[in-house]
Amino acid sequence: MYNSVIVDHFTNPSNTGEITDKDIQIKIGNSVCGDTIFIDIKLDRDHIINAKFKAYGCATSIATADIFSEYIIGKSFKEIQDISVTERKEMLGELDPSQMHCLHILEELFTKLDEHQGDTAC
Amino acid sequence: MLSQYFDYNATTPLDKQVAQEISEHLFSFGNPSSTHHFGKMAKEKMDHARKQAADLIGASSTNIFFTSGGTEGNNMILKGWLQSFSASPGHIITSCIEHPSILNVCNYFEENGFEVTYLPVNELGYVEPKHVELAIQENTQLISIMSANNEIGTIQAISEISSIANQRDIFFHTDAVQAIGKFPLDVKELNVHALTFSAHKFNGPKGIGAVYLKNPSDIFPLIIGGGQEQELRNGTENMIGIIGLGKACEVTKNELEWQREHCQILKQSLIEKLKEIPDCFVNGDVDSQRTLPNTLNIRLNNIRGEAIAAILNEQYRIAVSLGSACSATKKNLSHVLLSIGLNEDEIRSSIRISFGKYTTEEDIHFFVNALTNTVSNLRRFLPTEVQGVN
Repeated sequence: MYNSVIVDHFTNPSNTGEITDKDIQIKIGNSVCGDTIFIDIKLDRDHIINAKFKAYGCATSIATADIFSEYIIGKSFKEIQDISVTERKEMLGELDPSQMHCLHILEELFTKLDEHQGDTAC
Repeated sequence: MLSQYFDYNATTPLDKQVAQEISEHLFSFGNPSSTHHFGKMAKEKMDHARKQAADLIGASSTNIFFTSGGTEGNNMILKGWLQSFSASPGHIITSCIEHPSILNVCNYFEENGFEVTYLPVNELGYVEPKHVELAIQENTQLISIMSANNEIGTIQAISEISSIANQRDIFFHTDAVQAIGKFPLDVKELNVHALTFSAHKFNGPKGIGAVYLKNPSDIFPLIIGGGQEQELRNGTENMIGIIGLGKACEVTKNELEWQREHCQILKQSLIEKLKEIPDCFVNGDVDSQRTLPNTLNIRLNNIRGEAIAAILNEQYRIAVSLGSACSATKKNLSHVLLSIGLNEDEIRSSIRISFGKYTTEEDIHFFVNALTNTVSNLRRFLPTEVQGVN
């Protein structure tokens, strides 16, 4: 079963699509199950002003991409880095064992975003 | 509510006549083993239900034994028959698309000295009778092949396979849990030694089933006790369940031809409508004479079946079943879809649609519209390259 946060985001994702003049693109993929997420990000100096994603995967991984995109919009890299691990885990709500791999997907999204710190708007 | 239910192969809604029959007997508490009039009344009810069950499959009442359902029935037959060979374990033949209650019992016997042949199926999902013949060894002690598959709906050539088994004097069992109530089955025509069925798959209650045994003395009891069911399935009988099963058998027998035709029409309509969805393919066969009239397994390329099922459930309250549970591992892939040669991506893109007598043409229309919208939305944000991006 899916918790209400996950249901809201996979039934009605608000950040799907692409950004043609993106500054950053984050790509992650799970070679075992095939979950794939691409997130385009638009910056204004060190602030994320827009994020759009494309995804192939289970309902929870689609929701994860949407939750992550929604969360980072409007924040600076510093603000995102300051989020504790506990807070990150709570973003997806309570997960069934079969959905736990989406916590790793979420963590990977944060890690990949971190790698782009210092990138600036084109 | 039933209009959005497309998972009849998992379980079926209780028939109203069955529900009525059960409710009328809720307070009939007699133990059929008792000699007083309470017991006698219960015994009469039980005998009537046994006759109703026997009539559905062309058997005699004395060859019907009540169980708690398909899993117990399959265990009862396989373990009950093979127990006599425990000192000299031989060879078992089954197919690789059986229900876990057959496959895992065979695994158990394999771990205890038996040799097991798991026959492959062809790409449509059929066991080739000639493969059964070729697999037979001098020491083959049991052949168990399901009548119809729960995931892809293929109907196996049970008469032909039983004929092969009978020529070699080998005990032949068929798991008919998904077949009973979907098309006519007659144990005399099939000429099987044993057959399993379960009430909740044909609009009866859960927790009750039955086995047919051609020669009841063939097997040892799984549950030993007070001598019920000719000492083959001991324990005080589940009277409410038995009465429900009996009524479900009677209703099914009366409605069988209508139900079959009704479902065949709906299935054909569903197949035609699904052709409008791009990259949508049927898994297995579509031959109306060789597949269950209520079952269709499809795959929708480049989308997860799990995501489709989740959206259908949450947005449309539509229930379907999956070829693969959501998981980051390979262990949950359907063994049936693997057996017909589908790859991991295809299995993860598959859903099973199964319906029944309460499904209408309007329900099929609603389902296909919901599926079309869901697939279209999911494909709208599909990346151009997938998998293994790092």
